[in-house]
Amino acid sequence: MSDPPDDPIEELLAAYALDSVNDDERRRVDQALVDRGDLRDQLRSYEDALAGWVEADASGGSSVEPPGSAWAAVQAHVHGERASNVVAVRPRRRWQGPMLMVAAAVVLLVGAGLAINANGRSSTVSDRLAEALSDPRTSTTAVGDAVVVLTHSNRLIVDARRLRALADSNTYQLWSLDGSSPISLGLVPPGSVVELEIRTRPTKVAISQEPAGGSRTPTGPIIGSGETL
Amino acid sequence: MLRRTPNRPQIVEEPSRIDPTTLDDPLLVLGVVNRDPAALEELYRRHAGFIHSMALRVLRRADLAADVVQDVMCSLWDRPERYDPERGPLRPWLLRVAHGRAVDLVRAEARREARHAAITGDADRAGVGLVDVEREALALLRAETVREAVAELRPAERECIELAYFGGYTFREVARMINVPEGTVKSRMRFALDHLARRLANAGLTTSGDR
Repeated sequence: MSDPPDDPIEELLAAYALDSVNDDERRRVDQALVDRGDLRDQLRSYEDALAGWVEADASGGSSVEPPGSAWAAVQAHVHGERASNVVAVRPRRRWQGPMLMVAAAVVLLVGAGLAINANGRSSTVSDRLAEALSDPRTSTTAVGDAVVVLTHSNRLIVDARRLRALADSNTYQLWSLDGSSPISLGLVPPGSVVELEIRTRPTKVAISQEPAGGSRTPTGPIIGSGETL
Repeated sequence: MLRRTPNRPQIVEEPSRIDPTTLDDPLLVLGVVNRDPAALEELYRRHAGFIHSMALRVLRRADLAADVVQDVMCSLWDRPERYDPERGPLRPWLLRVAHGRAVDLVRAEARREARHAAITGDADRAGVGLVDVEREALALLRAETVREAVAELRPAERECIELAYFGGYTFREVARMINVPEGTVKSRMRFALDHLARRLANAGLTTSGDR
């Protein structure tokens, strides 16, 4: 009663959503999901249905909260990781980690900026970037491999030259996270240094990878975020 | 934020903290990316009960179900980038990850025959710790719709889903257990999930509304 190798993927998808296929079938469905958006949509609807079933069970009175020991173990994992990170580098105050990252990024940024001036590219932005970095009122934040510079005159300069290159169909997008929903601050093409005018100074920003032209809300993946302190 | 002007003393203000309970799941995952334990705690509060309930139905062992919850939430902390918001809302994704782990444990335990008799038994019951009224109301409405849709399934279709999803059996094992062809089991699974998904979609209650 085993299935032929060319068993249609559509016939397997429900069983796949139920984790009831074998490894070969799982690989076949995984590959098909990469290629076919209709299958991804169908799988999502199945997962929605199963999540609804679990919720139905829970709201029907069969919900069982995990024991407190489960959350305690998660907390231990989180804090153990944070503690080991500090020890692994050197004992220092917690805030120094991000600051050192920013400092290293700024060193690279200044070096790269000089090269850009020598090549005659983006000199105006680079000049303004160098000027901003020498101003003590400027806030500099590492966001993933990008550097976000917030000047006292409400200009944002984003150095995206160290961000990974993307296919033409994608770009990076900068977001303010100050409200209940992210607000787009603008597109940041990889390999560029861009300057963005802002009306309100953000205190927290993030960069996500988006389709070319940008998105209304982040669709991810998020490559980093940081506070503009 | 640090502000400094020539004629004024330096003023240092604490950046405003956003209440994590007001953020939706993708933003909380973003907080996890940014290594914010409060974001993980809020995600745990929202979803751990559902993960645990599902894992308990699959595993029938409280210690293993708690392990699944712990494993899934630690994995979310370690590799939050694995969740792609574009693919869908968080809870179905977490449940899918948790279900895969629970099924792995079930199969490793190799106690299927013993569990088969107990599969419809009751577990200890406790309340759900949600406080967000709007979110809870939506979940309850969705749950009610699914409950009605499940009731509309034929017993044979429901049996296939329960044996596979909550029992951890492969569709081949299900076919042998209920003595029908494998293709019939797959068809029943597909029909049942299509029916549930269609009912949710018609009611505008897909979990994409939670994003």
